[in-house]
Amino acid sequence: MIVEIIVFAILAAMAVGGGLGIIVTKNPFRAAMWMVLSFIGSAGIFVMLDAVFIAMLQLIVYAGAITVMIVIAMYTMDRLTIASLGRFNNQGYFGALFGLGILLDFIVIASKLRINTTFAGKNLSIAGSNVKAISDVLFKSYLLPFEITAIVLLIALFGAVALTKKDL
Amino acid sequence: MLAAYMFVSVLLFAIGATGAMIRRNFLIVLMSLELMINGAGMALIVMSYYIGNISGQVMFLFVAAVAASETAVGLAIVAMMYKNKKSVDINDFTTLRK
Amino acid sequence: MKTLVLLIIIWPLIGFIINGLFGKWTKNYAGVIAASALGLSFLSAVYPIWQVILGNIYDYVYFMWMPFGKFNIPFGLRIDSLSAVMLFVVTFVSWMIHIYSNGYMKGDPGYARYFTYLNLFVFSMLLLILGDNYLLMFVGWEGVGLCSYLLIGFWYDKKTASDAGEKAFVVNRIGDAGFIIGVLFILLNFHSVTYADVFPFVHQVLTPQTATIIGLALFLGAMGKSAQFPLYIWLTDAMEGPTPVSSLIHAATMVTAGVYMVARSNAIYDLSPIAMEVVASVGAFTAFYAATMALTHKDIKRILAYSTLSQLGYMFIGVGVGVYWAGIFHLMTHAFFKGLLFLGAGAVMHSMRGLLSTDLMGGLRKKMPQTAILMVIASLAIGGIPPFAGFFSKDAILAGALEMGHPIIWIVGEITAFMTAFYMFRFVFSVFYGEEKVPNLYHELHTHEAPKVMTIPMWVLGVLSIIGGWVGLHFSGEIPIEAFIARTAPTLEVAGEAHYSEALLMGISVCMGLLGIFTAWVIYIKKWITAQSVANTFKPIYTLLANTYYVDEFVYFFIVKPFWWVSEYFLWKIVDVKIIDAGVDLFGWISKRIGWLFRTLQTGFVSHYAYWVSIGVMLLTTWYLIRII
Repeated sequence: MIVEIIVFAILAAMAVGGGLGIIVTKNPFRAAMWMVLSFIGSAGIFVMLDAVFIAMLQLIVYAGAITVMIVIAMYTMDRLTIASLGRFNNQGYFGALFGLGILLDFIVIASKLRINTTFAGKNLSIAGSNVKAISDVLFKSYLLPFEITAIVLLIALFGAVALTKKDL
Repeated sequence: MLAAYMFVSVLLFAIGATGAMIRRNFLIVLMSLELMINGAGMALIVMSYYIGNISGQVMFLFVAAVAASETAVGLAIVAMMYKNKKSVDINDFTTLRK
Repeated sequence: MKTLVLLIIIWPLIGFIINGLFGKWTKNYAGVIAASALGLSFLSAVYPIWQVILGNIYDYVYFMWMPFGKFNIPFGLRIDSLSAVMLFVVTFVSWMIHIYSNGYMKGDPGYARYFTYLNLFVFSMLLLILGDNYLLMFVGWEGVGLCSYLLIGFWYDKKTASDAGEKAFVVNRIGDAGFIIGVLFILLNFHSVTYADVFPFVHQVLTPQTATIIGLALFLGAMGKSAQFPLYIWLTDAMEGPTPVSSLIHAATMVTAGVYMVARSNAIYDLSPIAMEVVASVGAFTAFYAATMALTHKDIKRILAYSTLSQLGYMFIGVGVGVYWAGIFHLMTHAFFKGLLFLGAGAVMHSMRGLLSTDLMGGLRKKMPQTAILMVIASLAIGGIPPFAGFFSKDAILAGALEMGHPIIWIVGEITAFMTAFYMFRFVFSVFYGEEKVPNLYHELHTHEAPKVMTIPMWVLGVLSIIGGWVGLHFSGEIPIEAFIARTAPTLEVAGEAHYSEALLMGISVCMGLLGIFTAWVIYIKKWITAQSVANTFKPIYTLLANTYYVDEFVYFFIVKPFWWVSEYFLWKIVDVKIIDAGVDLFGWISKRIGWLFRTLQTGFVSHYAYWVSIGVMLLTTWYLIRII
């Protein structure tokens, strides 16, 4: 138990610290690195929650693909242009205030959560395999949303291409 | 432990939201948005574990797909902004008013 | 069966759609399409009518038209004995007149448009008579009003025609307001407008007072549509339309809608002696009053228009005294012979190149023998000479009036019968008999008999003008048409019903008719007394009649003029400019101010929009928190 708490504390610190790093760093490249740290922390938390497949997905898609995509986008731009911007908006303190408000609201809601934890940690794998359990549900109950997701991705692809072609 | 996990999720979301609101650099705004989505996804995984239902993890898959699309489109917008004005400062782009 | 009943009204609608949308392409076939649509409609109606004669009643609901919680208005069609008679008259006479129109309107630039309107009219009329609730009847009611307006002003480049159309529309509005008030009262009392929900419960729901209100309000509608005094002024001007339109709409079908509606509402009228008395009195007065105006007119179509008013008055006497079957019976026979008279007048106009005055005609029977014979038949029918159709129905109305205890109305009716015979034969004698009044006019105009496509429908109506009344003969102790219509609209039961010798009454009626014909013969054929000397003897009366009692002038100076004045100096210059326009400007100003307020929120900075989103999120979550705590 104590080991679990220690591991959790480390991972949570990584995730939250990475997040804070993103929003205070001036240089977007460094922010991307902070983001990777945050995502790795999240992935660790997912492992603790028996979501092994999702943790791997998190590492590959978020920490890998999306970060790489953003970084590559940065490479196409002038370093001075993107890195020499001031950090915050003129009325950024408003944003901080609202963010704090949202945080407070959500924390109160999260602490009010009362759920039935009888099945905690159960049903998450079939024959010891988390992937099997996910695929079982994904391709039986959620087949149509799955297909629609494919279309959403396709349309996003089109959209991205169309946007970069057009002048503002 | 449930509350602790949820706090992490909520913190990630709130930090992401704050970042999206206060930063000027569009690239970092995009990263903040990723953070928000990740926070929301973490809530799904936590609930999936504590309720004992695999559906939450499946939902995370969809969330991830939407996040990927969003990044693709968002980056396309950044690229276009950069192409047109040589800037990624969101305060340079106030065309919504016109 | 359900489909068949629906088809009756669908055919004209199809014709309307085809000619209305593709009039450019159907050009010369528009008439054929329209007439075949009506033919199909009539054929579809035959079997249901036969089944109704055998004793069935059809009441089909096709869909819920307006479901409003507790009360629902269905789109339903109902064929009972009352609507069966109307259905036969409308589909058949319309069919004949459609065929006739093919000849009459030939070469008119608005050929397809004409048939479009005509088909739409028949569709509306069928909706009016077949609808199984008052609101559906009202839809048909307005629909026929619209088509009447469109067809009166058919030659819209003629100022008088378009004015006449507007006049008809405006005068009808007054009546329609009454109708809708009546329907609303019914809705208020019965919480339904479906006939099946209203008539069986009249005695439980209505007091005589409410029945009187409803009856009078509905009758106001009937007065407008059926052109009863004082709302009759539009009908004579309506003669500006093409003659087959006058025949179909302003003689045979539409103007009788009011009679049908009163007969349909018989349960309500039975409860209110006052409303009945009003209906009968207005009918009797209009019958007499219109007949006097017909005496002096020289325009052949206007003579017929006044005659229509007068005959409509008879119908209202019939339904007003409570012998509903007689009113509807007269409606049916009138549709035949008056339709025929108008078609005949149309044939005369057709061959006279649109000339209308009796002063220019005379001796036309040599040129148009068939038309002449048919006009004589129709005139005998309207004059009430046995065995022609009009005799039976008119006699039924007058005998009914006497038996129900209205001797004054009976006397007025008999005098009117005399005048009817007189003016109709004055018309026939001065147009078809005697000598040509203007030498060589016919030669110049190439006056000739109407083509077959026009004479055949006329012959059909001519035959019906003869035999159409025979359903009113006694067969094995009962009158078939009476028994048939009384299934739906039973004759009012009156305590102490008076009985008179039927033969005597018939004798008096026939004498009146013959006397009228004889007088006309004396004046216009033998010229023992010249029309001029009569006119001179009764100069003031003649002037009054020739100017139709100055009613149009009266209406112009006392209603139209003040109306214009109020419209211009009060409604326009004060209410519109100072109040309505200013009010609209005020709202514009307010929204401009509010818009300014919100416009300042649109900074264009993306993060500001994000602030608003986050404020929304906070409000939502806070609200949620307040709820769960």
